[in-house]
This record gives sequence, structure tokens and C-alpha cells, in this order.
Amino acid sequence: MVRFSTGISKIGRLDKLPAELNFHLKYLFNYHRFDFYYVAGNSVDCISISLDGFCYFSSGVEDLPSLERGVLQSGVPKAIVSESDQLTSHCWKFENGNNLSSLIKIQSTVANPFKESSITLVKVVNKTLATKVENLKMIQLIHRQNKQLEELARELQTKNSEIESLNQIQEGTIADRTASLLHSNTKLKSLIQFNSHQLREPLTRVISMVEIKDELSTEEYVRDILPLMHLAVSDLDKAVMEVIRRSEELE
Amino acid sequence: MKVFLIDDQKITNVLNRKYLSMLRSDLDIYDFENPLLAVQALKAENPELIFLDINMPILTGWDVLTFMNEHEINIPVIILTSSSSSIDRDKAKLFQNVFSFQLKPLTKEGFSRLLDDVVKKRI
Repeated sequence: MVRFSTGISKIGRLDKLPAELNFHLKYLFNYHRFDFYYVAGNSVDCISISLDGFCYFSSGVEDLPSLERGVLQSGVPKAIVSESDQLTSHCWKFENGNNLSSLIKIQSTVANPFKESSITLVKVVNKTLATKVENLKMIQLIHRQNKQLEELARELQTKNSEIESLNQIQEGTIADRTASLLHSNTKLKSLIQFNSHQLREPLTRVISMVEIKDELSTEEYVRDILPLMHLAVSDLDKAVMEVIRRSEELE
Repeated sequence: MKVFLIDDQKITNVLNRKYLSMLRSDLDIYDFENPLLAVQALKAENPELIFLDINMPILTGWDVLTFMNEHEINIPVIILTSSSSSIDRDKAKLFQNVFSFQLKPLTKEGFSRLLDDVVKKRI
């Protein structure tokens, strides 16, 4: 029994379980065929051991043989004898908590019958197997979730690098725009400088000529000031044209 | 008092001369449309006050100020410019002999106030 428990506990994968069970079971009690069903809701995992070999498979509750299905529904252990092949079948249902249950069916021959005294051992075997299957299924689930997480992480990484490259493109665009803005700024500054010097100069000449009018006699004004008015106004016109030319260059 | 008017625009010098003459009869006014000639005359004539334009061909007002600085000619200068840019105003502060920074056009009252300031400073 100790060897059985130790052996089972070392198993790390569901598909390795039947072989280990097959190795130990014959030392525990007499059987011709042994079936263990792990029932969770409507799904059933089955380990089957016979003199010919062993197997592991999954199915649904509706696919169970009639004896097992009956015991699962009623919860009452049952034993039947088949006249045709002289085999006795015992079947038990075990509640394992958390809405999980299991079935064990043992077939034995007349020559080598299953003994009622072995029922305690059957209970221990069920407890060990049910716990093990539950653990292994949990591990499978964790593995699956881990894989999903890994895939998600990979997806995130891909998205991250996509975002990074988008960011780089945007940074490039921003740098380009900043450069073009700086260029416009420089041009604007030079236009402002031009306005301040070249445009205002002839304008101040015109203004000052107008302002001195009352200080001078008409004769003096016409003689000294008026001849220079034409030059000032013409310079002002040139400067205005230049401002317009430079503004158009900015666009 | 000997005064230099330096401006490449003839009309500015004509007008400034008229205003100054109206205000004071004791002024000995020299005007220059070519700033180079003004610079050459500085040492010989040794004026007591200079009205200086900034934007001029050949030599700018800054060139004239730099020349004076390098030759330790410490005559008070009134900058008379049409540039309202603060860059120019700040630059003028770098020259110790720049007495005042004035925007064109300067009226008779403006000239009167400036001449008063010059007299006060001398006392």
C-alpha cells in the first residue's frame, strides 16, 4: 500500500497514471478488470486496467456503461453477476467534495474473486486516485493558462514594439515640424526687424515733415521741405512693396 | 555749443537743424549724410553733442559708436532712430556715452527736453 501511494504521488502527468496503477494494483486485491471514473459535471476521465493492458480516456456521463451510470445516479453500490462470462462486477460511487465524484468498478472471476474485506483498500485507492487526478488536472489547467499568458505576453510585446515604432515615426514628424516652425520663426523675426528699420524709416520722414509745417513759413516750407517729400513717399512705397514680397515668401 | 547731426537722410538733418536753431541760437551745427566724413571730423572738431542715426549705408550708427569707443572719444551721443525694436534699445545700453535713445520723429518739444537734459548733466 505504501509503495502504491508513493508510486502514484510521483506521477506528474495524467497519461502516465494508468501504467503506474497497473503496476501496483495486483498486489492490493483480486480483479479481472478495474475501472476508475473521475466525474466532474458531465465530463468523465476513465482509467481502465485489465489483464490485457491499461488505458486512459475521456468521455461524457451519457457514454458510461449502464451499471456505472445507475450507480452514479443513485449513489448506491451495486454488484452484478454475468451468467455468460461468469464475471462478478462490483461498482461504488464516492463523493470527493467540490461537486466532484468518482466511480470504481471491479470485475473478478469465480476462480479469483474480489473479497469483501478488500473494500477498505478500494476506498484508499479511490482517495489516492481522485486526489491525484484532481491535482494533475489542476496542473494541466495551470499549464494551459500559462501558455495563454505567454501568448498574451508575446502579443503585448509585438504591440509594444509596434507602438514604439509609431512613436519613433511621430518623433520624426514632430522634429520635422519643429524645424519648419523654427525656420518660419526666423523668417518672421527677420520680417519684424525689416519692418522696424526699413518700413518705419521713410514713414517717420513723412510724419516729421508734416509735423514741422506749423513751425515754418510757407515760403520756407515750400523751399526746404517739400522737394524732399517726394523721395520720402517713394521710399515708403518701396518699403511697403518689400514687406508684401517678404510676407508672401512666408506662406 | 558744437553739435553733430549724423543721418544719411538729408531731410532728417534739415528738420533737426531747423528745430535746434529755433530752440537755441548759440548752437554750431554740423550735419553729415555720410557717417564716414563725420567720423573723420570727430577729433578735429570735437563736438559736445552728437545726434546719431543707426541704419545707414557705409557705416552704421553702431560702427560709429564702436569707433568712438576704440579711440576713447567720450562725447555724449543721442541715438535718433526710426527702429522701435527692443533689440536696438538693449544694444544701445552697451555704449557708456549713449546719453539717450530716441524714436523718430522727434518734435520740437522733444528736442527742447533733450537739450535741457544735456545742460543739467553738464552741471
